[in-house]
Amino acid sequence: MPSEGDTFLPRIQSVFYAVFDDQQGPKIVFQVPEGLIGVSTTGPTYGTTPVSSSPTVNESDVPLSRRSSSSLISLAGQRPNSRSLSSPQHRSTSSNRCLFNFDDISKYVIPRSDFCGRLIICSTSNHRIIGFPVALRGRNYQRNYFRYNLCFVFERSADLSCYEPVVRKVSRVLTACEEESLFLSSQQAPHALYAILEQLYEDLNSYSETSIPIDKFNSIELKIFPFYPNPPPVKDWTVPLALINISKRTEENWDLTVLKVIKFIDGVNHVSRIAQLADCDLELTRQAISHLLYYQVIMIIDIFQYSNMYTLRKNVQWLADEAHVKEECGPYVTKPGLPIPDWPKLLHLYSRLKPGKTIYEWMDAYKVHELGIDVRRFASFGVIKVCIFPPPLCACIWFTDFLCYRDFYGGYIAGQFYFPWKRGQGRKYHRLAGEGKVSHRQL
Amino acid sequence: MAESLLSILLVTSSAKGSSVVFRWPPCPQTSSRLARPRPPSDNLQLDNPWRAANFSDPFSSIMDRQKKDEALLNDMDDYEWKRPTTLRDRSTSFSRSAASSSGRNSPSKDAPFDHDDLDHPQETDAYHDLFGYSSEFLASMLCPQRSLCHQKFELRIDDLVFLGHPVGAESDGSWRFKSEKLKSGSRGRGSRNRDATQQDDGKSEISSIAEKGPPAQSLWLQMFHFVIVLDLPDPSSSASGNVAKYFDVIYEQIAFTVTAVLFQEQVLSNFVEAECDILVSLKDEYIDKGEPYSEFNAQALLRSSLAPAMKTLYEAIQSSTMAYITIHDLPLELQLPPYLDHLLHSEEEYDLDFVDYKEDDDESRAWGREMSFGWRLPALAPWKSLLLLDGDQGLDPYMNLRGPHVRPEERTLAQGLIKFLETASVTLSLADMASLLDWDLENQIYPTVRWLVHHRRAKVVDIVHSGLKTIFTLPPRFEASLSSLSIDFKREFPHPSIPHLPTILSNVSTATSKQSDNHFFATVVQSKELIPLYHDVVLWMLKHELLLTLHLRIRIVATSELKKIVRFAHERRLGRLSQRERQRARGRQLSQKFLESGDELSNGLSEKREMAGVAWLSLSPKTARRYSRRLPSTESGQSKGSDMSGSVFVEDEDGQMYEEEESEEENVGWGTREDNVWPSMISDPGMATPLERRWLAAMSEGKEEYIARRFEKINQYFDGKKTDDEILFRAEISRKQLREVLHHYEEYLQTFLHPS
Repeated sequence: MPSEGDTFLPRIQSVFYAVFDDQQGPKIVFQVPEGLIGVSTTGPTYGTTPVSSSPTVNESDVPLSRRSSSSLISLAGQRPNSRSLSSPQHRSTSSNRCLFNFDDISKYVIPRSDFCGRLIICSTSNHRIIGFPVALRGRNYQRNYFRYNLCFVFERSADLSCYEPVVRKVSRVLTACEEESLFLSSQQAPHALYAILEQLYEDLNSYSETSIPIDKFNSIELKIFPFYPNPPPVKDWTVPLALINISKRTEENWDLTVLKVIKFIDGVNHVSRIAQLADCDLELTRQAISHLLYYQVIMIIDIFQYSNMYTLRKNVQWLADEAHVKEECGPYVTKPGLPIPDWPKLLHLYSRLKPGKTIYEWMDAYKVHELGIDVRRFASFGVIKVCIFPPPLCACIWFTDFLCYRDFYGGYIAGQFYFPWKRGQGRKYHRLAGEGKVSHRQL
Repeated sequence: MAESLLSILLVTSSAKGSSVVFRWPPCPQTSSRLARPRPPSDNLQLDNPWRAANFSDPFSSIMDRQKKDEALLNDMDDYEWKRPTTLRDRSTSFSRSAASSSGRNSPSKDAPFDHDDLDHPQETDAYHDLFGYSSEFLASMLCPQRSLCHQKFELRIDDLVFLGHPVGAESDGSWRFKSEKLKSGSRGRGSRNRDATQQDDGKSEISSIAEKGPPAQSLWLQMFHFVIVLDLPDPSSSASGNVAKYFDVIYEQIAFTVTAVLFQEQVLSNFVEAECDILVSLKDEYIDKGEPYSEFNAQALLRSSLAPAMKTLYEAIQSSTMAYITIHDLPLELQLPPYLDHLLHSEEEYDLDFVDYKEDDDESRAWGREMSFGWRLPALAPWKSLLLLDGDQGLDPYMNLRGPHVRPEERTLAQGLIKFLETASVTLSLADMASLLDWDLENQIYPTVRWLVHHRRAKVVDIVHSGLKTIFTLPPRFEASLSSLSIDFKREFPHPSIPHLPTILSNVSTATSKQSDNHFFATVVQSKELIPLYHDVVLWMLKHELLLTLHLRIRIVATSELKKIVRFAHERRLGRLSQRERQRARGRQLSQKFLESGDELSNGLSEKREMAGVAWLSLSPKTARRYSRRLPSTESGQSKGSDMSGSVFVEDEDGQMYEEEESEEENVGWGTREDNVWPSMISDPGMATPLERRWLAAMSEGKEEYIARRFEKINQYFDGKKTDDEILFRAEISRKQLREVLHHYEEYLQTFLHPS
């Protein structure tokens, strides 16, 4: 079983299903693993542990859904050992701990109708409970309504953003089942629900996805996506640079534009040029690049120009000692077949990049062309520094740029006026009489 | 500013039920949410034939697009998600009495599962409607079970976040401080935002009062909950986990602190209940009179002391300033870290400046816990300097002493502070100030600096050269527009010899391209007479964050030539040794035999050896090598002769020298991967390998003795990480002396200029 440190996704501590009982009020009907949430009510929960704990769905569903998931963010690394997962029943017998008392949070789990149909996250001292309470009206119910909630319990510190859509969807599907066939309230198949909880708990924790058929028409199909922040907007004049070998990872069922676009991502072509070369719509190209950026397989740098200016960032003090930086820099920045300058020389060249001095002037001053250095690669190496083996895509790709880009722009009345150091991305700021920022290329 | 702050509530619970006693602002509004994604602005859904048919040239298409965008915005209404306001539907549909919560018998058909709702005419909705919920219901949700009291409370309902720290009376209805452990813990944290020096006093005071027992008896109040309501920030704009961190800071700095004070006052003098009595009776009065909610609100601000405090707090958080509130005559200073909201935005927007803000490393630890996060403070180090800011209230150290809590020790503190403020200057480092004031750096200077920075009356900056020979550069962005800054600047500095602000900025920004004369004096001032005038200019610019100090870092390069020289010297020495070896071959054989037989003895003596230095001859050559490897090679270099006194087996002088020289030579690592003639950096001269030490020593060959000695002393700081200020402070040398070294060792040194 993957430890919590192995994955971005928080681990489900418990899944429980609670209803508003006509006699007893809010109560937990099933919980997986059992006994983790303290219930003080004396009344027996119906459907105690089914003796055979095997899920009612056949096993073949799981591998099927697994096979279909070889997308960029599949958590392939977690799979192999997940079969050795101990059954939830074993877990509950081995540990007697109680996460929290249900009474403490029952008013958030089965709230009044005002809060039904809303995503509710409440917390106890160590845990966080996410649920989507549902209230269904109907004359067939004893009280003319039926309220239930399927909740997931996590550690207090867990980031639940990736589970929010999951919770909503489970609730939606169960509501549909209830409305169609009284699946939840009929009490005819309580064990079916227990099996669903069990599978949710096991599959989501070990595979981050699940497929649970409920009846002829309904099934719960879930996949947890790790959460990334939105990428910045892609501008037509920026240059995408691949951080991994994307072409090795392509699949033919990918988006057509992405497939077309990635062929032209070489660290030289800018976005609108790529659109032109790939014969794609510009907006679609931007979106494709945005998606790649979202998954952090590319980064955005600036068009290389001899009029660019760069300057050192603070990181240089650490990166200059990094062995991988030292070793990679020379071979990367030197033109093929020419002798590779030593690291002190290259570092010296980097240290002489200053705001106010264009690449052209810098080359001139330090005779860079005589050293056989490909200046464009020299600059892009400085702007990005990519870890050599970007392992599973969802894991890490380190951006360790230690240069900061400055573009030349002489614009202000008082002379050349530089606004340095938006990292890497070479935004050109032109202050029109001091009012706000206008990107040079937008003018 | 906490841009997500929606409202501050005070919720109470009694036997009669829960209620929202007061809230500010009167009618909080949540920001709108989209019900479904907006279509791309480009009308992508249109098919290509349509686009071909409607093709227009790119210039006019911009205009078209703008028009389309406008149309789209007008059309946006149905994309917006409307919060279902349950209250309004109910209040018109049916009526019920408020008292019962579970004992309902006859559910009405049209609203079958509403337990308890108040029957009120439309105009009093504002009293009962909060975020679209009934305020009574919301209050009941915000008063958790007793077991969840006295701990952090966090509830999220769709996009509303409720943060707080509910506190309740004991089961017998009395208000008491919790057990000793809990009490001291909560007081310690609660007083975080006060003057650090007052913390201990505060704690002891509370505990002494607590022992006396509660003087006032509460009649009805069972629980109160000071709730901060936040609009859930867009999680897609920031990295995972940041939002939780953001909530934590707001909870700790605001919700917890205020609750702690309220709880204390409730326990000591039944303050909260008394306030609630005022507010509740006022509210009932206004509801009965049918007055609008705003009237009640205005009156509440006049009659209650808690209500204006909540208002002040809300406004201060909104405007990102310090909140000076008074709760039951207790002055409180509350604030959120100035850069807190940056957590909610993607890195692209803020953090990708060329200045890196490391928030959790050793450097920020010196600032203390509450300032280690979201403050973006530079390291608090002896070589930094202090820039006093002119705050809104001016620097009046007596300001905090006007309240009824003046204590003699605070008065002396204030006097010390005045002295400190008079001494502080950007040209003085904190270490200088410590020696001038005869204060202890760690125990007196740092706390004062922390206090000033925390109260936003000063900031820590890099030291400015008294002759303004400091190298500056421009920050990535300005806090205000350049035009307004220029106007302010001109007003502040009308002197004819001072150019316009943009001119100065322009000169500063281009200065660094020069290798020398790139400091402020050379690029801007240019005349010694103007230095005092420009001092004020620099101060003004630093206060407005228009200047960033660049720092020099130095690295050492072992050049190819140097390595060759060192290797040549080594080879010559080897040659000498081999010659000597031939001469001494016979003697060596003898001694070897002798040593082998003495191995056992030497093992037994190892303890003694550890204590009495290294007895080289007592070790076999191999052991000796291993031993010396553990020693820094300078020591082994110096050990010639001195260790001889401790040797157990004294042989003739030459043989001893031979042994030692050989072992030393092998230690150096000749022939290893490190031993090449390619130029390389000596990444950490302070921890240099023996070979690197040889190179360092060789650099000084032919240099004047005092320079060589100084270089030897300070080269440990040439690791590319220590700034020039730090080197000067640590090595206790002057800038001129450093420059001298840099000049003499130019060929072996690389300099880097970047901000810290």
